[in-house]
Amino acid sequence: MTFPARALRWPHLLLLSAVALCLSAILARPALAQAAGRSTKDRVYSAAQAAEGRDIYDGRCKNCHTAISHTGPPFRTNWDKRPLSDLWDYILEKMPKDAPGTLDEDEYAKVLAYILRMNGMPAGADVLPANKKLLKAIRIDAPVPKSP
Amino acid sequence: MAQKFFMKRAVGPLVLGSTMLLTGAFAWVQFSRAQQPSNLVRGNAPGEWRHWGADAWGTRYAPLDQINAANFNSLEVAWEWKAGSFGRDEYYRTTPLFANGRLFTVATTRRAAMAIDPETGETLWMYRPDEGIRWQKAPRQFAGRGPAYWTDNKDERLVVVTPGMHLVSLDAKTGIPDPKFGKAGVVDLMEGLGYPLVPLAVDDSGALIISDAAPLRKAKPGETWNATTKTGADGTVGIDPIHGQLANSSPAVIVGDVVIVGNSSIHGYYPIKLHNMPGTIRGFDIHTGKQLWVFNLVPQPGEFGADSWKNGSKAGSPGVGKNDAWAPYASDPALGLVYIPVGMPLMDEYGGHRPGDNLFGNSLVALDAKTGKRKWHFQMVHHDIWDYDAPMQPNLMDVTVNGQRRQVVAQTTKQGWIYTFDRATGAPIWPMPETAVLQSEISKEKTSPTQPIPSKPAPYSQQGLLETDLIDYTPAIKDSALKMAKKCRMGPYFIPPSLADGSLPSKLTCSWYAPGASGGVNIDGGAAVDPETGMMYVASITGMSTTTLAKDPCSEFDYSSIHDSCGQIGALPKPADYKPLGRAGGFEGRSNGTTIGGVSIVKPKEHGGITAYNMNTGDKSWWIPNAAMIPVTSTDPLFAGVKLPSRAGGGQAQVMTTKTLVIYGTGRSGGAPAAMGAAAAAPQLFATDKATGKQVGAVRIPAKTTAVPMTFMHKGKQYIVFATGQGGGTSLVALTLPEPPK
Repeated sequence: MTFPARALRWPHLLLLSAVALCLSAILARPALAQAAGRSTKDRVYSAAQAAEGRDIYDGRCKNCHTAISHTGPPFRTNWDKRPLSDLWDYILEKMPKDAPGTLDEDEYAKVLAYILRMNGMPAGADVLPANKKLLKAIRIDAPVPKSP
Repeated sequence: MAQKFFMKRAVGPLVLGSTMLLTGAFAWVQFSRAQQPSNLVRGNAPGEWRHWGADAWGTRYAPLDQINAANFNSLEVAWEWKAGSFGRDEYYRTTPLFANGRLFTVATTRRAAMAIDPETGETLWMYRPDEGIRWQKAPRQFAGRGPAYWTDNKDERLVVVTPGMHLVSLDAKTGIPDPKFGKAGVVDLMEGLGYPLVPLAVDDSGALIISDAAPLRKAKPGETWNATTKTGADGTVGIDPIHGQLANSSPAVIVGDVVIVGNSSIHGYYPIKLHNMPGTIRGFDIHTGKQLWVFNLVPQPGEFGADSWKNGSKAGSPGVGKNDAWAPYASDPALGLVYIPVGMPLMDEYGGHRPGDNLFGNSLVALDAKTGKRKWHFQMVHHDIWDYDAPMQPNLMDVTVNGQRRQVVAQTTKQGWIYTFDRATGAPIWPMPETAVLQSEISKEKTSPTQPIPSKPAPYSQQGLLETDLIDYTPAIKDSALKMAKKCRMGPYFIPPSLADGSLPSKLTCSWYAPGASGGVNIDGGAAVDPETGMMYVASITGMSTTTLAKDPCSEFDYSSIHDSCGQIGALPKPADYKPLGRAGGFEGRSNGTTIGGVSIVKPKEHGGITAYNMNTGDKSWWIPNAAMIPVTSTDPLFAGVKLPSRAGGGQAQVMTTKTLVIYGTGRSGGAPAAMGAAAAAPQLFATDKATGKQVGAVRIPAKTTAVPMTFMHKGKQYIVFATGQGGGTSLVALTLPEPPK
């Protein structure tokens, strides 16, 4: 579709700019606010967030359990096709194992982003929100592990 | 190649670095000779912190008072030394040492040894071991608790035990390995235990997982290293992993000229193999690295205590393993004794495969440092099935009990008691009668009929769960709490775990577990003592969880915490009737059902936080929470109209004491929550009056403490140094007072 050159006068440009502004505002919001029914394959966290999550994971999680309990087959068995909010609730209530509930919510979101990264979910520009309602609209799609 | 070791200097080009190093070393020799104190106190020089717990006694006490109640809040960050620049870590659990003008630490998953200028935070030297695949599959791949220091007033040594089990002796002035010690400064700790060393190989590029399912293996003849897949044999040798795994997390202790080294082990949560290597304590000559003696923490056939293993105690036999002494040790240089807090035998929550008391598991053992001969021992938990390893360095002190001056050693524990002994004889200071305890309902589990219960001091953590422990703010609340409590097996302490399938006579599927595996006292907490007053300041946590056992379908054990090892490398094949356990698995389930509407069913008590005891009488003196009391609210209608009492801040506080203060950090999981406001939740170091527990200072710090802080005097200034951070963001932070105006 093409526009006739004369149609692109300033009121139209203003309208387009406003639409673009709205779009960018929507895009800047946390993942999943924008559309229900997204999947963890839809770049719902950022690489930087997962990197921060790795530090927290190393310090608060790894001394009790390594990745084996929440990657690959165990992750798929427990969490595939469930809303991400279920996993959120689980780690909020039960983790760290030696001091449950002692991270703040932003820290839990970072750890959750790192768990997604460990499970091969792609990173993007969005930051995974520390918000159960928003996480409820993200479905966990666990990759099929290459080997058992 | 057997092992690869190399040293890097952290300063500039090699020539420049060497010049600086030599200059520094020379300047120091002049200073140290002039300043060398003639009289050590408890193995420590005035103003120094030569041992993990300040001195040989493990007091964490420094009689310094430049930093005091009047000026604590004006402390400033003198420097921050970025350990993360050298590599990643778990949380930074190291307490550095200060001796003869240098600060010594370990850092990163490689456990690199470092010397730091205490005034500026500049790195003076670094020794970084490269242990190949032995490091890659090390069960304790982190910086560890710290190094050990030795001097004869002429030579100085820094001794490090690496994750891959090498004992390294470095010239503390330069970081250069002592050529007279072992082979070029290194003793392979996998030698000397009676196992031949074999070439090792690895089948994947990952670290060791939580179980023993994917360790190293013996290399096949002619096997080589594949640099692309990072698998195969890289030339590393070690004990054949079919025997089990050895690890280390705490420093050596040096008494006279004897370096005393034990070992840690793999986690005991979900082992797959029904045997592992028993723990040992060994003595080595500081000058030569020669192994002088071995003490078996699982007594071998014919040795004292072997009959406490009813099915036999021979290493390699089914059911035998561990009793690893992984916490730091303390010593009395005058008595020539070293005090070893010993961990538990193989498998944390089930012991049907090892009937008997399982000496020297869960014991405090006093050994002659020169000979390794047992002077005395006391087993604090018989036949442990609660993961109650002795988790912390014991504290030595001299106190006056009933008018008599006594030399004592006090052991803090996960189970919430301090066990106090005459440290020369092992006689309990206060009675610890063997008391009948609950018995397991699992037919194969032969629980000890009794456990020793200290009559004094009173416990510092919630123990077990009784009806009188439950919240009872209204009759309805009491009924609800009791209903929840009765879902699991109750009792005063030592409640044996239940089975998930409800097949036990009681039909119960869980047992209350308090303190849990994390303590009480555990790795991050423990006590400081004041040797002048006899006060003891115990940092601990308190909590409530449950235990449930089930058969792991791919493990050799009858039962473990609910877990599914199937599919892991090294696990047993899946049985024909295999069904995935799903999300019920794991000790994650331990935190199930302990609250109603977010409110704990246990009444708030003065537990956890910091408890001060007068060890002359064994009485509690004062108690404070870790950082704060936290408001408790609930939207559950059950609590409508009830003003709920606040609860104590959680997490293991990290204490030391000075002339007038108890100084503590909150630890990595302590401190006020964000909901209490940014100022309250900010990372802080606290000071309390040590006589009363009243807070007299709090200072913002860059991040929460992750290990016990230490303090020292250097060039007329008192410093406080502590570790912080995790992953790629670890550091040591030094605080000192601002310069007075000129």
